Amino acid sequence: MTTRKWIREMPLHVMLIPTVVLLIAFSYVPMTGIAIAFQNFYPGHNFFSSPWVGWENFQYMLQLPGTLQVLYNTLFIAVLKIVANLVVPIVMALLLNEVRKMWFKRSVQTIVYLPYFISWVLLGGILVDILSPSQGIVNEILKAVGLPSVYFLGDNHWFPFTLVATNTWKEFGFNTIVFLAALTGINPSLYEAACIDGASRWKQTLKITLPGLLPIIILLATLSLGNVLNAGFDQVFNLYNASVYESGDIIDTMVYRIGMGDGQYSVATAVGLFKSVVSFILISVSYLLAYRFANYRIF
Amino acid sequence: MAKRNWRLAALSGAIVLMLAATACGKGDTQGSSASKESASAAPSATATSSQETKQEDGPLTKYDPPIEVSTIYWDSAPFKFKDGESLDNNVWTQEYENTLGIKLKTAWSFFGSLDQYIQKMNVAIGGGDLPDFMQVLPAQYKQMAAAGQLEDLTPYYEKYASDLTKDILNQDGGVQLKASYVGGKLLGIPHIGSTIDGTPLLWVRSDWLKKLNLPEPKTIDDLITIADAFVNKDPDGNSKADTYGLGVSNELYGGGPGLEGFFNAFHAYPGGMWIKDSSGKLAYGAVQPEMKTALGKLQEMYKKGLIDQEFGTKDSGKIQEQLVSGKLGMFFGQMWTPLWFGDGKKNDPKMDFQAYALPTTDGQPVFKQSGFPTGMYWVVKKGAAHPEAVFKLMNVSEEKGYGKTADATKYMTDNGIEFFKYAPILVEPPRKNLNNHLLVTEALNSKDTSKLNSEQKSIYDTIVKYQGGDSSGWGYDRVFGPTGAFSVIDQYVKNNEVLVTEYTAAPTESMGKYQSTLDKMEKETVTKIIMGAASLDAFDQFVANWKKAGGDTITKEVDDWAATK
Repeated sequence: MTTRKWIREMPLHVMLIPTVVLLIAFSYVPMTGIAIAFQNFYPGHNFFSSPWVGWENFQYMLQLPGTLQVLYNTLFIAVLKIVANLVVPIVMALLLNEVRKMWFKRSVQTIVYLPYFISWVLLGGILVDILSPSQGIVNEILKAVGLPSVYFLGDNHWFPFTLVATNTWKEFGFNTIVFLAALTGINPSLYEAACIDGASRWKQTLKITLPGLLPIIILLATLSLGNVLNAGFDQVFNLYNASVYESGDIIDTMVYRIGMGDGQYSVATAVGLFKSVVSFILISVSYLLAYRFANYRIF
Repeated sequence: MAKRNWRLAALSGAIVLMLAATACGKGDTQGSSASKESASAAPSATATSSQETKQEDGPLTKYDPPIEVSTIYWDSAPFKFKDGESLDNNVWTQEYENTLGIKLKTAWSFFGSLDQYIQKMNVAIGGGDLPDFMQVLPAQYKQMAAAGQLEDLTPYYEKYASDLTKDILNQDGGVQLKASYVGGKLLGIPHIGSTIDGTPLLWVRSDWLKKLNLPEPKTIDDLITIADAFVNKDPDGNSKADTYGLGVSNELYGGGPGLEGFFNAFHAYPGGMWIKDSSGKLAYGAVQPEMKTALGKLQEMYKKGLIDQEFGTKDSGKIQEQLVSGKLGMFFGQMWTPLWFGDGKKNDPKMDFQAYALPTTDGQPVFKQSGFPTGMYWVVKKGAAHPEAVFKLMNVSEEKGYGKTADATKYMTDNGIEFFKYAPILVEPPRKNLNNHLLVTEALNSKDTSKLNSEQKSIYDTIVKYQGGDSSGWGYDRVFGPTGAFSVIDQYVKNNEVLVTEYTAAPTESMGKYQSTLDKMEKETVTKIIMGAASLDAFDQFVANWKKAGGDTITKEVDDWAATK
């Protein structure tokens, strides 16, 4: 780097300083708290006066009954959510892209985006009513077409799928907008050329639109892989109940009960650390894959 | 429940502490300088006063010359004051100074969440910077007692606690006071709570009982008959099958509404209760065989549709909706429950609920369970100049708050300003609510309100208004009125049917480790068995799992504790 370039970019670097300071203060300094994952921490003590216990907190977590079931639930729900949150928005974006009437497209786009802003605390109460087997509208519809009613929130078979479906309904508007934005970036002359060559709408979608979307799909997939152990605390906590603990209890809700309920801060931190390490590894691997196969680069 | 909240709060406190170490440091120095001042001021006062007042020193003897006593104030929000008043100069400090010659000194005060207070107290305890007396949590009490930081109050209690103070501390039969002894010594005064206010009651819609010509619920069979009629005989008369039998929230326990009352009828005591088993050892209520019998009955009721088929997803908020909309007519609640759905009376003026004593299954007396209600302890620092002063302060507080000369508008609350918060030591009598009921009932019969204090007078006025046709006082009438909840609780107390948990100390180490896991297992099993998603025999499997997953360890610790008690 030449001196002149350095001087020219100097103000930009200076402008960056507040951000870096805040980042260090609020993201890196608190990371020292990880230490309590390896301690027997009591409030009122600090990192220096709490006894070190090594891996004991991790061992304790693993020997608790139901830990494996909880891990399985978490993975199962999270993976389904990741897949649904990619597939549904892509389909939606492709469909909306074909709509000619601008006002219709815009309205649909806004309406499907709205649930994204409702908190799970509210939705929890609403969904219990909507999905109720005796009074809920969903089961009214099922009954009207001759299907048996389903206790979506109280049946271990249905509960994980209910979680995925409601989560997708709430979240898919966001990714739809991202994909729609990406669609506008595809060069229209490609479609014109395809038209002249006699390609059908379907062929154009397969050969032009989807390949054009591929980089952004890979980006979103890569980012979401870090969530493979995040099955969504807000949602599960507000929707689960004792009858579906078996299929709905996830790492985060378990940590909540142990950390907040029993005041075992060290164990809660240990599990949090475990989750972060797994997420870090998965994000790194998926980034490498994206780097190699899709030519996607951050640095 | 309160225990849960504290822990939850404590965690957020831990996070705040990490981020705001500097803020805490500041608070600390203030605290230490203040207590040093008081420490230096107090001994000089002793030297002069102790000799003069030695003869006939009693519960209310005035110190001359006045002494200084330091303490800590804590509340979730800053106190409000009348003009010209402050923490160091208000109706209570004036009262203490005039009648006792005690000048209260604020070592430090803290207004914020309980968790932060716990943090600050932990720091103060760790550093030994303590005022003369202060309020601490059970765990801190245990820790300070073990560390020898506390003055032994045993001799002072006998000599300096007034009759009223002793009466209040023993209104629960002395259970909580006895539980405060550590190794035979009284090291703190328990901030006792009521063991009777939380006992389970059966609430039934009395207008529906009359309409459908049903018996009063004396036995569980009566209860089932009533539930069946409430579900199938259209008690609200809208020709729709939209009413429920027995209301249960998916929290399973508590007043909003729970199942303790049902289980108690079968002599089963879940919800964190420790009971004496036949061999005299302490045992956990929720894993005893009596639970299975009761669960069998609940499963049967659920199968018949007498319990909401969706109760697994209905929390207490949803039950409240059912009550307000007049769809639910029977549940096991607590004395306060009618105050919680008073809107239902506005929707349907015909709605009326009556509290009944728990039904029986076998004609044997039914014991009503109660958790252990002591939340905090007042302790005196080891080496404080006047350990007895804490009792003298308490004597005055109780007298002016709840005694014969009580004056609620002067000492308790007026115009939204809560004076009672300035009193550094004040216990609400555990029988206060029950006594309110008894005195109000008496006054309603005799039309003589001269014996009522200002709180009782306001209840009296509300009930008189309700009897005159103003439905807004309905809840108060159902709780405190002549046939209200406390008329039933009065019977519980008279028949000696309140069963307080046998384990009365701070949580043991294994409880901290395993309780939430065990609670989850219990809740899951109970819910599934009731809903028929698991067979009744799943209970045996649960008991075996419970023992393996930490239950046996906890039981051993509890037994060890009982042996040293």
